[in-house]
Amino acid sequence: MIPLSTSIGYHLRQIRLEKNLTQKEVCKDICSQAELSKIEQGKVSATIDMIQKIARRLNVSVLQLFEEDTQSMIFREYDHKFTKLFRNEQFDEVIVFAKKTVDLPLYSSIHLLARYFELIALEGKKSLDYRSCISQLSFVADNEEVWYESPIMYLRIKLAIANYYYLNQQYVHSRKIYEELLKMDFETEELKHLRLKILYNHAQQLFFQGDYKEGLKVTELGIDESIIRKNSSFSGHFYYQRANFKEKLDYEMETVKEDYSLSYSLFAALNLERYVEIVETGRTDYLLFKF
Amino acid sequence: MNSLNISIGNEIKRIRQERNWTQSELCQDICSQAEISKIENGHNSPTVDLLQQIAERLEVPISNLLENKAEIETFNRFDHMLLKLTREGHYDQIQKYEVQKSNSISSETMLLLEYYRIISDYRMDKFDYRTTSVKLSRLTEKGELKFESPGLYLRIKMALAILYAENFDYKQAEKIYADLEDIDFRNDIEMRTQQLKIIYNHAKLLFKVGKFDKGLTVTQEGIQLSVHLHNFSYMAHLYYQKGEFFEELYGLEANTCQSYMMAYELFSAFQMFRYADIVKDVKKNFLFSSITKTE
Repeated sequence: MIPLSTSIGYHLRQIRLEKNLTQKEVCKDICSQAELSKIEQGKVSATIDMIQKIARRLNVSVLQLFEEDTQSMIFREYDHKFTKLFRNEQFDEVIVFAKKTVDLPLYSSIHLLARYFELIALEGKKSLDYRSCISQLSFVADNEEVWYESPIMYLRIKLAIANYYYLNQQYVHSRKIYEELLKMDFETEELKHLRLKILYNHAQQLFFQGDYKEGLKVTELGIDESIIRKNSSFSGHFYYQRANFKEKLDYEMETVKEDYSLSYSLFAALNLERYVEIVETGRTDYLLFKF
Repeated sequence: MNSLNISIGNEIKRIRQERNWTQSELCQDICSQAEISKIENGHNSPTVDLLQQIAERLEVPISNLLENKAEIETFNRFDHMLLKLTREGHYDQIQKYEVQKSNSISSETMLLLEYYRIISDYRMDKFDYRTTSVKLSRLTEKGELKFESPGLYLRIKMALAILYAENFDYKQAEKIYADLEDIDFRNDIEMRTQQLKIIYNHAKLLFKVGKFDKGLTVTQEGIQLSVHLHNFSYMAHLYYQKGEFFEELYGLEANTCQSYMMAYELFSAFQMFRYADIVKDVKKNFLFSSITKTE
């Protein structure tokens, strides 16, 4: 585990640079420039008093600096970079970036993130077959510290394993993982957010497995939980899924159309243009209107 | 003495006693007992790494030690009760409310009480709106409210904006909303979600005073922030507002129809059926078939 002073220092530096302030401007009447420099590099562990003074000067609250939110923000930044490269299938870049990230003094969750992306990128460029990838991911997730240090990475790794199974028609294996994951406690907002993704993937897997009834139930659970959480991330996907299931289960055409239209509206509201296009071209006869 | 150090000390002590540990059990291999004693008393400020070690020993996230749980609970309890009294119009009871000073009553809780008292004074016509607005402004300038409890800061500022608007001082109200929207809360999701409410109120005001162009810009910003935060609390409302602005500016037009249509769809998707029905009822000329007609 990295000492917290390292990541707090790193974070203070990031905020200072973002606000275009020099070390001199920040440390005036608080401490010497040499001291601030050491704090930023994590070479000394400052007192909370000192951190509070610096935080005030930077217009951020101490709690903000320490909260898991901070960690998750840096995490999200990395996640965003990795995800973007991965989506563009720039697998070699993912691997290089992952190797670089592991060498930086960052939270362990970010190191796990890097390791995770490295493995799925290797699978992506077919340097690793899906079975070996699953076994390596399992090896990472089953390290007993992972759940404790970063429940979010634990879930994501498990989720990836389940997805490899179902993409390779191993429905029984993947279904078992989803069902186990959904039984776990999701305490933080971030985990609850991830739970929505698990529900979505699980419903998707049930669709391919042909269990439409169970799939419909899972999708509707996803809709309900999105509404409780006021979270829009998967709302468009859930309504699209629900329309798929209703179609297979011979529901009345009118309700199927309503669901496709809702998903279309949500995709449009959330600026998910790729999905808007998919609904517009794939389900054009089902839409009650077009924007 | 620094209030943060005291609150950290109190919290460490509270959790330690809850576990029935002695100071020496807590600090073994971490620091001296004298040190932990000074920290618990709020005399010493622990270093970041020491605090981390203590948090690990106590098996709590470090942020728990930085916020005083007992204080937060007291704050929420007061808030809940005072809000209820305010809603029911029992202003006299708020006036009479006595607070026993104790460890768990933070300065934040005292400010909250003062805020409710100012509002109830105003509602009981004890003070006019000008005096009330000065009092509220002063409250927001106290200490480091903006940084120490941004949530309370935003609430008081919002109350102030509403007070101005109620008394036709629209310019002042608009200025407050614009200022609050400009605060950079960075990664504080809770505060940024509060900003959605500010944007919504701001747009409502702009509609009232007929600033439709500006209103359109503000609602658009609100929609973008909603998308960014993946939060749909105000998303459908904002689209409805956008429709109203378009309607005022351009009448029955594709943009107007699309905004109302989106509001209707989002209210339906989020199962806010009462609102969906209202849109369908009040804006039916703009929904469904009409969109294609105007395109």
